[in-house]
Amino acid sequence: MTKILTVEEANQFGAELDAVREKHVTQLGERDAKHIRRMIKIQRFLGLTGRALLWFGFMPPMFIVTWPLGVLCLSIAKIMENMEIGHNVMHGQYDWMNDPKLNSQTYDWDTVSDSDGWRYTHNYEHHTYTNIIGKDRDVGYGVLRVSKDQPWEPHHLLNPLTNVVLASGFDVGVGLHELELGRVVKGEQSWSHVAVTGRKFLRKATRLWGKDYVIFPLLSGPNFLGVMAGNFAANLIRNFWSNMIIMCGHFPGEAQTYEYDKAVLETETRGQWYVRQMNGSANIEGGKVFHILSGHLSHQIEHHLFPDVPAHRYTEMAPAVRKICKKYGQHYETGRFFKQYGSFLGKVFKYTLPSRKQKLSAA
Amino acid sequence: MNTSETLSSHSSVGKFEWLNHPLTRAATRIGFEAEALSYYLEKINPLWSLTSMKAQVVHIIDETHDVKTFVLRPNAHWQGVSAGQHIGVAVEVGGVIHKRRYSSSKAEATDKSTNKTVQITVKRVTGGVVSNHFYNQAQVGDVIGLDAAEGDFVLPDKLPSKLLVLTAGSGITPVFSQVATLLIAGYKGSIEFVHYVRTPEDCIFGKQLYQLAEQYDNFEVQWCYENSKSKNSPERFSSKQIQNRVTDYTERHTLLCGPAGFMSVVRKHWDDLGLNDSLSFEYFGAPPMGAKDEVDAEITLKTGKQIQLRAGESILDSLIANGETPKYGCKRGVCHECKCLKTNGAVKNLLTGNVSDSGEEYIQLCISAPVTNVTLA
Repeated sequence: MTKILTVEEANQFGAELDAVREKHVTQLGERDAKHIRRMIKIQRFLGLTGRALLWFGFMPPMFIVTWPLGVLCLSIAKIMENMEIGHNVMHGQYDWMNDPKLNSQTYDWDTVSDSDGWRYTHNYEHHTYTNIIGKDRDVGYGVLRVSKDQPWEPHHLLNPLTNVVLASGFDVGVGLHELELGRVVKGEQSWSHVAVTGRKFLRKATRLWGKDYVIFPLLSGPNFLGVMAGNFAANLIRNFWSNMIIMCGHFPGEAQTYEYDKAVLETETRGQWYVRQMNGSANIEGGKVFHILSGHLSHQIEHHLFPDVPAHRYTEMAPAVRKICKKYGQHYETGRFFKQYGSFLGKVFKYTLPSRKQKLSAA
Repeated sequence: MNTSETLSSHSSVGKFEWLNHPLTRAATRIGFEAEALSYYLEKINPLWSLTSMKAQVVHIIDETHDVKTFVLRPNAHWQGVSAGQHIGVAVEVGGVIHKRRYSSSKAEATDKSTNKTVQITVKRVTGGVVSNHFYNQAQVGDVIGLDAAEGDFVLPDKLPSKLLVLTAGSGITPVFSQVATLLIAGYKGSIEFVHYVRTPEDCIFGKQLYQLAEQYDNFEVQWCYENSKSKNSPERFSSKQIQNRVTDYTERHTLLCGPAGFMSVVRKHWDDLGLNDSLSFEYFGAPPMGAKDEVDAEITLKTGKQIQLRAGESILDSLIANGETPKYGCKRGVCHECKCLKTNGAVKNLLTGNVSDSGEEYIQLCISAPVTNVTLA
């Protein structure tokens, strides 16, 4: 169990983490610029190769090889764009480069979520109020029950099924998340918000789906269906992969959720914010390629402590963070992918039913 | 007569006009990505960008011991420049893109073929990131970013019959470009060019000015050396000094460009003479460097509105206290929602204590306090 820190201890804990941050921020330069440009290069050429393989693979014998290979290249390109490039650029990790093409405020990623809306709910709401039930809508994405602290509702009986549906349509899920339908039903958000964000979502979805399911298939002529199916498969793989990585970020093992207390939140110090981020996140262990394909969200703990530090540095920051956590008795939730995703899945099944405490109070 | 309309022939090449075609716009809406296509094209040739203005360094000229001129060939997005205007350049140093503006230092020729290049003249400034990069690293073949020409330091609408030019230090660059352009275009009036410079070794465009004076009877150039160590006795601007150099100076329309100190002396004299109307001027010199302390300062917003900022207080707090409604989120430097484009001035990061670059860049309002006056776009 993680130790409860006093305000003083939390502040010291925060100061030590700030020192880690400072060390890396002062080093920002050539190496980080090279990293992100290299990622973009690999991503662009994988994308081009993938689309080319899908286009030209219309001859039956070649089809068996080129189609799966094309899908693989394209899905990796999409995964890299969304996770290692888009997500991280939109966090402002490369804003210091002053490159208009890598600017958090203007970057538009290759997924159906409207960038401006996502930046607000993700960078501000999720990263400021991480794992606070009612404030951070990323806890279960408004449809799953992943913590005993979330009030049980009858639809949670379908938790495992909901999980599969959410994973397969994760891009749409994240896009529609901006509509805040849950809050609208509760009267906390207006219908005009739904109209405005809904229009943005539709505009972007039309553009991306138009590209994947109309333009590129048409351009390929005789291989219309092959290209369309290939693009669909690539989007689906991207969805499952990103969903699985993201679900490992805040819900496995001992990662905590918090109850909303306005007074506590308003007086929260930078140190206490660090403690909350730390205890609400979970890492996945793996190699370099795995970290890149997860957009370094496998270092979710470091990402939540230092959201605007270039993500490829998280691997280097992790040992220092672990040492500080150990010193202050803070649990550092980490494990291999199957352990972490298994733990999340366990919770998905476990919380289909109401938790005991709530049963009693309901009675 | 306005120089921008008549004297300089704009080298606007409309190669990428199709990017603005309704069909392209429609294609963009349904998935066409100029940005992606541009990426692959730029891998083949960095100038083939569909979206960004860029230029290649084609020639480097040593002017003095600390000044070099760079001849640049812009890509098809370039819209041209008028003599007296400045050009935005962007170079990458240590992974960071730095932006600066330099005066166009080229004599606009009437010959179309030489109009395909633009020219800037860079003086090396101690500690200056961009000027030192240009001076030490830049090579023929390098590709740099460009921003459109700007500035309204252009000749008066009705071209006067007699001109006086007063410049000091590197303030000579925009005016040299204007004067050379005028002469090449066939200006028949008289031009007296008086340049104040520390020593003969510091003199930019000395040879070119000398050649122009040889070639055109209506053009005279005089150099005044301000450094007492030089061979001649030191010579600084004063009413008596200018009277000696150009006897009819009060009858001439005057173009003035140089460092702030020099200009305030000259402007005061013209004010005393009651001749403000016949003076055109532009401030010139390196941006303030070395400012480190948080100070009370003024911020100029996109709307042109000016607001007082308090030393040590975040710009976001000052703006909110003054009834502004900027976009923001966490107010602790995490979410980047309050990011704004700063076009001028330097700020201190309240979390790290680092002082920013003085050029154009994005800043987080919630953790930035002013160290100089600041302009946002």
